[in-house]
Amino acid sequence: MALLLEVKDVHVSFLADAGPVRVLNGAGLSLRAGESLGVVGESGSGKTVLVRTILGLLQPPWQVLEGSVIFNGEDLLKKKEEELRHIRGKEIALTSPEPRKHLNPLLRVGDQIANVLQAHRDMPRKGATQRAVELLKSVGIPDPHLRVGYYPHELSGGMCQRVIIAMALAHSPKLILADEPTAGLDVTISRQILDLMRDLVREFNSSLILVSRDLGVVAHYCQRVAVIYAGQVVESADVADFYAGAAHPYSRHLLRAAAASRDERRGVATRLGQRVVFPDKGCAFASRCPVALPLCKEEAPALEPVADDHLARCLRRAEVLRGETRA
Amino acid sequence: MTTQLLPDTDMRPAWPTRGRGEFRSFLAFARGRPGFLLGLVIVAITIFLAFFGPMVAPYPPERAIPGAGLLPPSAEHAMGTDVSGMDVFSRVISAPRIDLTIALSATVIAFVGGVFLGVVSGFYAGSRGIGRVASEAIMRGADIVQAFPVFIFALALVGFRGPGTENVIAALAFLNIPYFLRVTRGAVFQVRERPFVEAARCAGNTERGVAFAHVMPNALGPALANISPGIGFAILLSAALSFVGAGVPKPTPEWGSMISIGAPNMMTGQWWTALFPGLALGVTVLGYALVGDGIQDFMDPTKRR
Repeated sequence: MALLLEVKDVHVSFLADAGPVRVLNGAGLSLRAGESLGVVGESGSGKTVLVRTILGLLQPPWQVLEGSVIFNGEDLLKKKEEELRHIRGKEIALTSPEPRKHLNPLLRVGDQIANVLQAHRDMPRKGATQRAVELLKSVGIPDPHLRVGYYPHELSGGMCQRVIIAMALAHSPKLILADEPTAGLDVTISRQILDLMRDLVREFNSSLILVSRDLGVVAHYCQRVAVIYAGQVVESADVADFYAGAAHPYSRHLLRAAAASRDERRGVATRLGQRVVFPDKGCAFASRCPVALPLCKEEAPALEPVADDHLARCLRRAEVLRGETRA
Repeated sequence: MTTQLLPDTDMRPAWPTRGRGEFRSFLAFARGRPGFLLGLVIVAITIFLAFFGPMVAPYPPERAIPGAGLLPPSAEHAMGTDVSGMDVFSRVISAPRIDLTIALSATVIAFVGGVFLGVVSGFYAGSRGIGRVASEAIMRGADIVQAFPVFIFALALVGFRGPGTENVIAALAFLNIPYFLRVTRGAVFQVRERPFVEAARCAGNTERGVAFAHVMPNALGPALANISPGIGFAILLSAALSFVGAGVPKPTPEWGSMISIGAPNMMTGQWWTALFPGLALGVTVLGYALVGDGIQDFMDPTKRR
């Protein structure tokens, strides 16, 4: 299948007063049409920045240093603002971890959906509102003809997320970037929202990048997974392969932490204790890695295959995969 | 016999719905604030007089009564008469028509212009290219306008264009623009960082669309709260212009020109010709300022109680 999106070697810095902070350090991922990819990683690993880079939303003090984002054969990072405008919302849509904050508090939700529709299509106001009702219905909002007239503060967080999804789907985009769509929602609503997203992505024939901290969610809703650490993708694999055996020590930690919280055992997280550091040389994970060799602090590993369709950024990836190391 | 488990209750929602609820909470808010209530009453009176003042006046406000100059306050002339024999009370209550027309239109023009320029300058500040140039140019323009003493500048504008109601309005509007511009710009700086602005951008809106459909409505609060004191300020300034003869031409009942007509008589003991229009002016400006303060508090939900 053809590649829909290929993010290659993206470097992004944040220009703070004290000097530039490296946030993305050669991150890359690829996505085939119709596929759903889960991006997992801890806070501050660069998940959200990566998503925003794809849409060209970073503004100063953010700085994209190098890299390319090939979408449908064209490099989005080289495009002008006006060209990007025709892609945003139409070809690529974004959902937010804070749905209520992503809605304009002074506009009725129906008008906001109509606004999205009219941004890319000449549409009379009445037609746009009618379409908004249909979209609200398709995301499972009861009484959509009434809800179009509601303001965001009159809807619950889950309802707001449904509205955001309706807006994202307004133009049947080829790619949906879902940045932690279930943050701040309780588990039953999370489940409903994720089921809805999966069904709609299928129905609209879109691809999905699901940013999440929850490995269980990714396992359930995605076909592929990319683990991001310190602004780099450290492992990328088919979901089944990944859960059967991760090839990067960090991924193993993540999996173990997920299992630990389920079993109410503690300790994995405390073992990783220290904060993320960005070394000038060597592997970014070396300082926290339980199986690091002296060489790891000298030589930065590349993202290389360890099995079929399974990449890992670790010098000892083969051993880790075989479970020979006690990672 | 059946037991009634629940009493018959009113099934209307406990919280009134939008519109009616806003009005109710406004009333509740006003009740606890005597200053705000006083302001509302003063504003209501001036608005009433602007419409009906000349009709309820006991004498035609522009007609001099021969031989009745400088009469002290009496039952017949509640505030006396001025040097040409015009009834001061009739003129005082007829003046809001012209004073409010000037102040309201000048403030509305300044509001529209100031908000527009404020959104442009705030939204494009720090961007690149033409937007930044426009933003900087607007701010330097505002600096220049505000660097001059307001009154001298108004006088110069009116002197340049000649006296007359439209020219007074134009001058006051022009002078008021920077105030609305600055408060709007400040609000835009806050609003443009909020996530829904980026969401609007993500949806594929043009920058102009983001600025005026999404940022502007959310940045109107401070400018709206400034309308009321702005009106008070404009009334004061237009009276000052009339006082020095650069405002509304003389026989028209206007507080500033009445004070100017009556000033020489103050010296010779006929205090009523200037005092009453002066009081009316002061009370009106106070009223609009009080309402402005109240509205500003009302718009901040944390201060409502």
